[in-house]
Amino acid sequence: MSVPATVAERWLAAAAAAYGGLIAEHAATWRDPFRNPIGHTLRRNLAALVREFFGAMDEASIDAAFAEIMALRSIQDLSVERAVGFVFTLRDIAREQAPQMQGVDADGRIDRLALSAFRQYLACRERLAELKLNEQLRAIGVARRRAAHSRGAPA
Amino acid sequence: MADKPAIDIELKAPKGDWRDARVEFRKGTFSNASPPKDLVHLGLPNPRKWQPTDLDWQLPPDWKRILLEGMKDRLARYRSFRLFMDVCVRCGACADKCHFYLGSGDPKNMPFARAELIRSVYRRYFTLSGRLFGSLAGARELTEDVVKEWFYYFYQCTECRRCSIYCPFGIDTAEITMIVRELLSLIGVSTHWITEPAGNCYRVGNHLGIAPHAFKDSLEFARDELRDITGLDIEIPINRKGAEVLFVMPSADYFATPHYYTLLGYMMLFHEIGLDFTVSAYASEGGNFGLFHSNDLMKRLNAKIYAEAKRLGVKWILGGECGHMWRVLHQYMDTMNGPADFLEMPVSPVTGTRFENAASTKMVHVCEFTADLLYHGKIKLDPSRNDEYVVTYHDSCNPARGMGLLEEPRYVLRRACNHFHEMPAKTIREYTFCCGSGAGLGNDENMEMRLRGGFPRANAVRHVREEHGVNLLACICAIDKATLPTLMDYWVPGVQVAGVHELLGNALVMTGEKQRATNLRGEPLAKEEVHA
Ligand code: SF4
Ligand code: SF4
Repeated sequence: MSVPATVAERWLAAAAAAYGGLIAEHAATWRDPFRNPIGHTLRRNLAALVREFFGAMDEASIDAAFAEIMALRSIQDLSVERAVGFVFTLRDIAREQAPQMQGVDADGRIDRLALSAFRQYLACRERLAELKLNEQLRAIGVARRRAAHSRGAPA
Repeated sequence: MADKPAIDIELKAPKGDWRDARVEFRKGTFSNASPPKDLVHLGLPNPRKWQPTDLDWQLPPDWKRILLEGMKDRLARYRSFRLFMDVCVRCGACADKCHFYLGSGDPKNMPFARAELIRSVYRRYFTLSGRLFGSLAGARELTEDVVKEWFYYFYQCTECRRCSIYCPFGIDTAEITMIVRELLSLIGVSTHWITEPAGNCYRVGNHLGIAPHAFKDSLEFARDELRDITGLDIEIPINRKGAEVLFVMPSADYFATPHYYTLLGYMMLFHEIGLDFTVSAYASEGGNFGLFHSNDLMKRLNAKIYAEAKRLGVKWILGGECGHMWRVLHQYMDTMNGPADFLEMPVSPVTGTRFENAASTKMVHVCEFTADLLYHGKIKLDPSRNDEYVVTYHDSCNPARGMGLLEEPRYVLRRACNHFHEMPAKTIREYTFCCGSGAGLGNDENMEMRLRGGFPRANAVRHVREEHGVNLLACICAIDKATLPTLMDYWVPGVQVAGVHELLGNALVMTGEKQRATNLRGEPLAKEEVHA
């Protein structure tokens, strides 16, 4: 197994550990994204993040991967420390698996990953209020449409 | 489809002791309690002010006796309940089938584990081994913590029945949930989002408590909008005695969006075929939140449908797009409030088709009715009017698993739209993933739990969005129409939600209509209309 693949493997194990072993169980037994959507989402996006960690550190790709991971973790029974904290486990894993990274600022890269994770976590939390508001507006959608109609405005 | 696994992780058993009943009521993961006025309106026991986060739930002093007697009574009355308590062999076939488990990873959301929460109490009080050997025989004392745990987890089950499809013994955890909720209601433990609409329904006829004149105003507004869109005067008769058909719909169809566009679609269709129908200002709600509370409440709320059919002297009943409404109509109405021997076997006045499947209830689903019209070539569609949409179809749990309505909505959609793609096979039809907000869970305060439960469904939508560019999720359930847009906005932005009859209404070519400039949402059509 290549170094990035091993790092991804270890990292996934650390991320899954936040679920008290249960999601780890999913990831081990289920390969199908429709039977184990949490495991699949973690696996797919952590692999992409490891590619960036060893590669170009493209900000858009990193944000996109964390957006998916944090969409899940921000609404599950995880404190913010647990939801985001797994990112830092990459430090030891990378040190152990890729000592040849010396010369590359691995710590700096991990800090950038953590920052993205935290930003995405907050963005997800903020979206919840907007979702509730929009749902409430749709619940009175006909009254709003009537009001707009009587004003002659498009609904 | 499944990608290559990056890793293998050792199998571990869930941590902690499943018998530990303590739950943490975290904001965002539970529904608010029923306030006293709800229970007073419905004549239900133990009205008081409380919330699940309170330490003291102010249960009646003899709450334990009430629950155990309630269990005893139901074990005697419902053979299914007794069987479901006895026969689970913990084979695990249902373990990974619940959307709440798949979205949360919480082991108590595995269906057999959810059922175990009451099964353990059943063993303790109703079996010899449980009485003698206690926890060694998987038995548990009934404590206040257990009551709280029941509330937490049985209001985390959307009664969707997906697990039952996989159980070799046909154990239906949804029915277990229904019974536990009913037991909880005996001691005044229920949720506001269920009892408030139920109370409104009981007193006024619909969930929001919309009075008859406001109901009429809404339908008049629909008539105005239909005139703008089609140039035709499309009347919506209310309380018209002697009509052939009573049409019953969920009330969201006339107060919420996107439901309302489905209402426009039905009315265009009925006008085009000249259906002799009426709606009722009293049976102005097909939905029945009693289903999520107790058998008795469901029966009381349902009674108005046959009562109105009788009062108005119709021959049969047609029902709109709704999920749980159909679960009640299809599975329970006949037994609860039938026989409807004052009605006739439903026969389509246009095609002559006898709906023998509805011979007993006398009530036909609008998708069956429309599919039959299309099958006989009685209506003309221009699917290009829906060309802006790349459509997939969400089988709402109740019509799909509760009544087997799998083909008819698809039959309509494939004719009304040029671009239609199915989600993966194990996520649709009888295997459909729930929206995660049904059975009274679709409220604001429970948003995080809903997003967990809806994740497997959204994940499958996302798949067809990536593969085919899907931008519209069609469905035939009022709760779906209220909650799937939220789910999509969170998990799969860019996917809208619509009813099947909204798309039908867009495509329906009507006699004498003006050239259409917009779809039913008032949005400009993607292409110029070629015919008038
Ligand atoms: S009925 Fe649905 S929500 Fe309830 S346990 Fe089964 S799969 Fe889960
Ligand atoms: S599939 Fe049926 S028998 Fe097997 S664990 Fe689930 S409920 Fe029990």
